[in-house]
Amino acid sequence: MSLTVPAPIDPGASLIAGFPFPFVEDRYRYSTNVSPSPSLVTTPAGQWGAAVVDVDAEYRRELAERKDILAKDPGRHVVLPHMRGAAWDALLTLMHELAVAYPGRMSLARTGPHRWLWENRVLDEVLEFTYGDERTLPDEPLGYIASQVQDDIVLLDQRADQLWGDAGVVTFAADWSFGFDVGMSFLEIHGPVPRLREEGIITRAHEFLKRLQPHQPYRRTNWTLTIGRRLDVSTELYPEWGPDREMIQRVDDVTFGRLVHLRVEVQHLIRLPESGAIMFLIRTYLLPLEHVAKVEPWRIRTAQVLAELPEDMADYKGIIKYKDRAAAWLQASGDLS
Amino acid sequence: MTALELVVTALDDPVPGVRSVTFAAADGSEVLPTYVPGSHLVVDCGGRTNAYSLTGDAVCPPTYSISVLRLDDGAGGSRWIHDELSVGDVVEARLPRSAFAPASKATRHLLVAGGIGVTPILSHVRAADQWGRDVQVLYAHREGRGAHVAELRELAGDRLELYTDQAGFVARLEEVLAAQPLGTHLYVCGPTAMMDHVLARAAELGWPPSRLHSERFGIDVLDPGEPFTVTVAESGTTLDVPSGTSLLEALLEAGHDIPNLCRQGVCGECRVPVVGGRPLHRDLFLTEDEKEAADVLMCCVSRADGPTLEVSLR
Amino acid sequence: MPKLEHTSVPLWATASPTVAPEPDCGGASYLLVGVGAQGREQVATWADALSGHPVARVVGDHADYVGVDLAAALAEAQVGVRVRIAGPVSSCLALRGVAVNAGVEDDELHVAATAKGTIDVWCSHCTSTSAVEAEIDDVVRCRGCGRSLLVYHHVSRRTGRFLGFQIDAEALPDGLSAEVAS
Repeated sequence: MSLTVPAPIDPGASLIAGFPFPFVEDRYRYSTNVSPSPSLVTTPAGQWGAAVVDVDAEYRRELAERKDILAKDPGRHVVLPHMRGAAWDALLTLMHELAVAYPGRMSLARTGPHRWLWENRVLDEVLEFTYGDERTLPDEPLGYIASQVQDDIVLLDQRADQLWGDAGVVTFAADWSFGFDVGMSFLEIHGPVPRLREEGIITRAHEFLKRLQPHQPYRRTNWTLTIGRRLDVSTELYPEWGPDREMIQRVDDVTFGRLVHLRVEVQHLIRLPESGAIMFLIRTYLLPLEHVAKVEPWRIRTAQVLAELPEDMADYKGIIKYKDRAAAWLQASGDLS
Repeated sequence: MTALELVVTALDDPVPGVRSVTFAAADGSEVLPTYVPGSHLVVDCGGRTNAYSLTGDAVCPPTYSISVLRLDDGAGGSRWIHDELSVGDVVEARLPRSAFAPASKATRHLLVAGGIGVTPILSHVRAADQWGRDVQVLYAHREGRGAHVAELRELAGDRLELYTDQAGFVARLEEVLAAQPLGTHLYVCGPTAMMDHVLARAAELGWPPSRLHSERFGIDVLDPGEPFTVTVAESGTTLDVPSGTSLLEALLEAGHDIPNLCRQGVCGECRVPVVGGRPLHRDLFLTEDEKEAADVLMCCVSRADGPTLEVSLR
Repeated sequence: MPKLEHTSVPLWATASPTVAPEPDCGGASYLLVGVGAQGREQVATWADALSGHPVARVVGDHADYVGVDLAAALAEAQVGVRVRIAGPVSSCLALRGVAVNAGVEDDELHVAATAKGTIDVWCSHCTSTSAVEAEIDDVVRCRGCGRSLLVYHHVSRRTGRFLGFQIDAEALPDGLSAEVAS
């Protein structure tokens, strides 16, 4: 039996140009780094952040992968019964955002008091539906809208001064299990992360989320490293991708730079306007170090962040076995140019 | 942007003392922003800002509707709406704010309205009808002054009970509070004394706090803060920070480059040292000790406790 | 490891529980649930203290059967009820799940763990659940797939199970090497 790692793809110019480079200084610490969205960010390679939803060159491939993952493990898609209204709210909100961001390719039109016409020309789908009537959709509403966006979606119900992760479709989890966590509070879900509670970051984030108002989306970024172009690094599949962390230590430098990816999540925090639930969107981007290195400011900064990262954070992010080599690799690639 | 410009498209006086106002988007948009049932609209009423519960459809509505009780001894906002506002007038408002939302886990919604407190209750009943939720509505009002009775009757049918005598209402309340299936949530809106009574009786009958929801009018209004002046220590220049403008906005407008991110007082980016005057902390970032030391403030939300403040921007 | 009180593990399910808070006495009626001998004893003590108030009891030796009876009782319950659960930790976690799924709010629920005993560990890889005598941070064998699972400090509210994941997933089996898909 051999173990295989998903091969990297050639990112192509558009994926590099749109890459949401996450580091704003030469060291990284957890913070409540929320800011209003959308908001255009210009980078040395291009720009990102002009819309709340991002459809890029990987759209079809990632949606197909999501479909496969859900077929093998339906436990990644859960909507507790009381979240039905929030699921519809998420569907309409995301359709609206897609239509605003991509007017040539997506459109949402009202055809009656509760009737809507959705067209997605990229996937060649046309759907006329009645808001609130499941019989008019091919799938449960959250499942349907998750088939239209590359983001993972979690819906949080606000009650008793807490936020509860009571619905979601999460196929690209970075080392957590949504299927296990569903029903937990925001504070419970983040319980296992070191430093966050002690430093008050989670409490502040919690307070912030509880005060979110509709029609004013916010976003933040998160990051880690992933070996291979692997979107699904959930706890469920840990036996499959865990061994990569050993394997990566034995490969040559060229392979190292091809396989180790900088993984960035652009997370959106949106108060859904009718249900009042909070929609948490997680949009994942992967760029191999060999391409990070081609953008000089990215190369230098990423090397510094990795070299300086405290051990407990590196351990929690799962990168302790290879982050020093990644820093050295990035340092060295500058010397070659 | 939280500002909303609305144009009055209809005025109606459904019962004595109550004026219903219908608004559309002043820029001609076909729909107004969706809102959570039970939300209120903050309206600039000729210089005073008041909050009124929205009563109409919540999802992509073409119009917003409120119903305002005339208060002769109020601060003047309701009088302005009754006496000054005309069809065609444009008013400044803010995006609806939700502070009285239906509980999503409730398997029954017990809705209790007193007088003009019926307005957010109507919003709940409308949503319940759309989503097929189980409701029971008790509406107590003065004889001849029950606003929105016809609409409630149409939406809730025999689940609506009307009371014009206090004794009848109080007696029925006792029965109803003692006989709700586990899963029911209670919502009450009306005069303070009535709400206090309902909530006290519910607690005495064993209702836990998590199942009790109330909307007290006039309290949950955004606080634009008192105006003050700020002096920048390095240059000695003084700027005005009017009510409704944040210290951060005033400094940015004057050309100062202040790092900022969330604009909500949680991230800590806009920290500015205070060298004179006393800060009024409204943030969620500083510790109690840091707030007490009073030598720094988060300028995106915090203000001056007093007429002036001096900050250092080095 | 972060402080356990910052995690999803309820205080009463930890290895060294702190002094339990007093149960709420503001209810209109009480549903007392006990599993095992000590659970029954606790229920009796509570019932004595609540004499004069409407009290219903659900007791038994197996959490599964008690869970069925509890769900039935909750289906008939009215607002004003307070639910108290006593028994070994795994029973408490499972019955809390029953209560939560039936719509009981946290401020209507009180749990008193009487003993440690077995816990339920959910294998995130094969999705089977193993009942084991273990504590957080122990390593147990999954009854479904045989993997060695770390018992993580993460508990599901709805099922009462601890999260288990393969502790040695990052070790390559002897004699094998990883290949990269070309």
